[in-house]
Amino acid sequence: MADARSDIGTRERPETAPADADLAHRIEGVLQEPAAQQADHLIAPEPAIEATEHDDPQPGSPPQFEADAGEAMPPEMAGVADLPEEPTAEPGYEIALDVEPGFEPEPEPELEPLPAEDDAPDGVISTLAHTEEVPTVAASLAPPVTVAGRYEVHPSRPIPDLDSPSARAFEAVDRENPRIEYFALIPIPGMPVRKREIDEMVGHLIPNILPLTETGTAEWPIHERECLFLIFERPLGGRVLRALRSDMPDYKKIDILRAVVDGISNGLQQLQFRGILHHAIRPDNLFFMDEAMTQIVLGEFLSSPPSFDQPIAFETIERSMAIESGRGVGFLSDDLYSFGATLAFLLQRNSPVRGMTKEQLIVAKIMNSSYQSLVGRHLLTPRFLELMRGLLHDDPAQRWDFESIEQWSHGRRVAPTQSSPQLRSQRPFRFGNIDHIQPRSLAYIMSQRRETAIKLIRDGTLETWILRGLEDKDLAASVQGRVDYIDSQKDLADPDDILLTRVLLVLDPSAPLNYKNFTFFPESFGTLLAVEMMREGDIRTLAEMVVRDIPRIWFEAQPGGIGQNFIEETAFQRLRLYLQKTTPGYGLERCLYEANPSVPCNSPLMDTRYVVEIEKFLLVLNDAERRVDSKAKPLDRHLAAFIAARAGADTETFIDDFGDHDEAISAMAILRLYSRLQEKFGPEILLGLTRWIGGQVGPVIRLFHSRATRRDLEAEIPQIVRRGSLPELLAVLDDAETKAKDRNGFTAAVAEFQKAESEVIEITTNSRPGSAKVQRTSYQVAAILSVMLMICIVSLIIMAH
Amino acid sequence: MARPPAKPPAKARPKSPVKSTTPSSSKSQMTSGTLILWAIAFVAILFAFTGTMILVLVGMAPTLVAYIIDRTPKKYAAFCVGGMNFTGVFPSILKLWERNPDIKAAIGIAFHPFDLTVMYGSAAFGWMLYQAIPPVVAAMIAVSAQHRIAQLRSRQRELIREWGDALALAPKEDNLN
Repeated sequence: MADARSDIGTRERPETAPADADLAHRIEGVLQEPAAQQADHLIAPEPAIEATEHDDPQPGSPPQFEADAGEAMPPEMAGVADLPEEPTAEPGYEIALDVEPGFEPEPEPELEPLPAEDDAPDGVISTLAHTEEVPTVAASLAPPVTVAGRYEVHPSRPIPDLDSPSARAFEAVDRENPRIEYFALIPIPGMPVRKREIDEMVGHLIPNILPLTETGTAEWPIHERECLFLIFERPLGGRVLRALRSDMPDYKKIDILRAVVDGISNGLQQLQFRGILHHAIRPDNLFFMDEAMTQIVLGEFLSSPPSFDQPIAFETIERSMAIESGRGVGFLSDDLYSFGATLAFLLQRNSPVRGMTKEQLIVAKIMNSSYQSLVGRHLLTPRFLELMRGLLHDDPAQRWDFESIEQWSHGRRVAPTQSSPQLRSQRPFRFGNIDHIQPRSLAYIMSQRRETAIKLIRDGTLETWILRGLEDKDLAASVQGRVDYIDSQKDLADPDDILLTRVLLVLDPSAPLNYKNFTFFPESFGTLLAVEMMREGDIRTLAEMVVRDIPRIWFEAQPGGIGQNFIEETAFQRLRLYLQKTTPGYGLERCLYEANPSVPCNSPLMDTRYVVEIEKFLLVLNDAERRVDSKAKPLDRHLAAFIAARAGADTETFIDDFGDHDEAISAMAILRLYSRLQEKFGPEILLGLTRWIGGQVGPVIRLFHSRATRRDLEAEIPQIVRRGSLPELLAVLDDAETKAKDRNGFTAAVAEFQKAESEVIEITTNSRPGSAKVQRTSYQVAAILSVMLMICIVSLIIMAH
Repeated sequence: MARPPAKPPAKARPKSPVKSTTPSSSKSQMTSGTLILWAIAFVAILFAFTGTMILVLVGMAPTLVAYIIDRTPKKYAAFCVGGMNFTGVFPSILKLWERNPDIKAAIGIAFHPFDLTVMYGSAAFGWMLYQAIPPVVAAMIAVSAQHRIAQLRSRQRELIREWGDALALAPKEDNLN
């Protein structure tokens, strides 16, 4: 089976990644249209940057910052600040390719074919042509699939132009209104899609947002399993990026950019009214809705977790530090930043961040600000500079909001805001081949070189630099406080990892939580867990984090502390409770479903079906009865966790009993659970499931003592099974009157049995020839007989006289 | 005029330990009195019916022996022997009463071989009853017990067939929930 998860799961998660190379290649793909190669997109890993030995300060040597004081910017940073100018006559836009530092890019990248997978640098969005997801001939010839009883999706008609990084696009036809063109996006199976946003948006026409017309599930021949379908109205004008890279005159491009600004701004506002954030604003996700290319819409953002598909150039500094699935929902200001970054890329003839790795780009943003890093010299027009400066402000509080954008669009001057002064050192601190003058950049590089970073903390180098370079005694005391605290915890496991986590948050409280090989915002834990489980990643560390209450470190480091993040912290406490129990219905599976309402049930009993709602769950289980072994239990760890998470806490009692070693209690728990679900969610008839469960209630019937009652039940159950009613089956097996009658009858029978037994023992004891009672009785009989004889004889003698 | 204060209740006299033992003392006294009365009656009867008494004493000697050697509280041996012994003595008493019931006649009858054989032979028959009847009665009791046990076992099997083997293993206080 062509399974996207298998492809994801076989790859290692990188520690760092090229900056926006994935976007660049995606754009190349869009422009070059290698139809066969663009059938699908998968997220590929990114290369790790090794912390080499020379990064490690020598123990005992004087602090590096003293030796390096006064050094210039490292060469790669200097390269960012002083990029060689590209020929301005070159048409279109150049966005950073993923290449090694120092690599000289070719002048005409857009004309080069998309690199084959073996040659492609990591971090690109791989195409389906190079993965196992190549549609089979049979799948390509498969008939259309009907979604929501109305839309026919054609497996044989992919639309690579409209693919999303985590979802493939196929042509869809509305049976009822074929004149309107639609396309369907099929997300990677198992991917945690944005369910709340889908529910909010489906069927609603939101200005400047690609209209989501319908959603539904259907068996998809390409994946050979049931999949989620997102039916969108087709943007007839294609991608905005294609138009901007065409040969059209600059003034027309500027008009388009003006429309882009209005479109994105309005689209984001419309989403904000509905409490939705986009988190997928990037140059290749803007479309013209009409063929005349006048109406601009923001592309879809529903097929993957927030910012999952975003190249880091379009994410804020903090969010780009986090791994793709760990960026969280974030804030509107993050979307506005992406807006600014997108505008910057669309405006420039040459990319100022071309050739930079992820690490280099993040450090450049920290050291030089995002605006300076992303906005170069070769702009199509300078009229958007002020807007970009406002939107790319690295301080979210200073970043422009809709009001500022409105003022700017009306030609009014937006009052400049006063940024808070940043802590800077007079003496650079060289670490990781970079001279740091801010604790934030140092913290980020330390997070990428954990082992050497720990040495830096342990040998006091960091504290010395903070005292002498940053001249911040409080910060130095905080770092030392964390060291002392960890040292005082004698039985603490992995003390260095926790120490580094704490120190990094002291240096940069706005950064995501960094623990071992994970960097994420705690609010994204659900999607992170889902993606890691999908790709069979390091789930153990995630569980360890929850059990050890690691996210609390991040909450404590935030302004306002735990109190400000009470809800999230409480959610983690609940997850910890789930993890502390290992019985079915708890553990990581429970955490997965509790934290991800959009993740389908992964139980093997669900087979290829896509089950997200509990209402559909029983129907699928009912169908499963035909193909599974009748002796197999109709409940497993995934099902138990899924039910507990979706059907409410009142099912937990039954799930707890399911784990009981007593087969009768376990079988009864299954019956009670599914009976409750059938009552609550329907349907009224579940023939398969009732037959399945009815065949496993033997231990429950054997709980009745009376053989007559058992025979009656065994005769009655087949009739109930034919009616397909679990509540009825439960009513018969759990009838209080029958149970009481059986219990009382058994008690009486026990009493009678024991009375008979006592009598038998008594008789056996007292009827032995030598027993006292027998002897006494015998002698009594002899004495009575003697006296009777005497009376008779004496009477006869008297009468004879 | 104020009423004089009520007299304190007279102190209850402590129960005399002597008085507490009065019932047993009276019983023993009564027993002693009864014995004395019986002794007086016996002496009176002895004087009134001297011949008969001699005959009874001689004739009932096996009963007296049986009474003495029988250690059981109910003295079944004495009853057995005594019943048959009296049957043997009674014809001699009638014979004595038909003649002059004096001492000489009584001694004559008492020591007459035939009469003595009848009296002691009947006593021996009583002893034989005492030895022969109990095994027979015990056998009868055993047969009856086996029959009852069979009935009870049959009922128990029925209960097990209806309620299962757990019945035999259930504790006396069955707590089924």
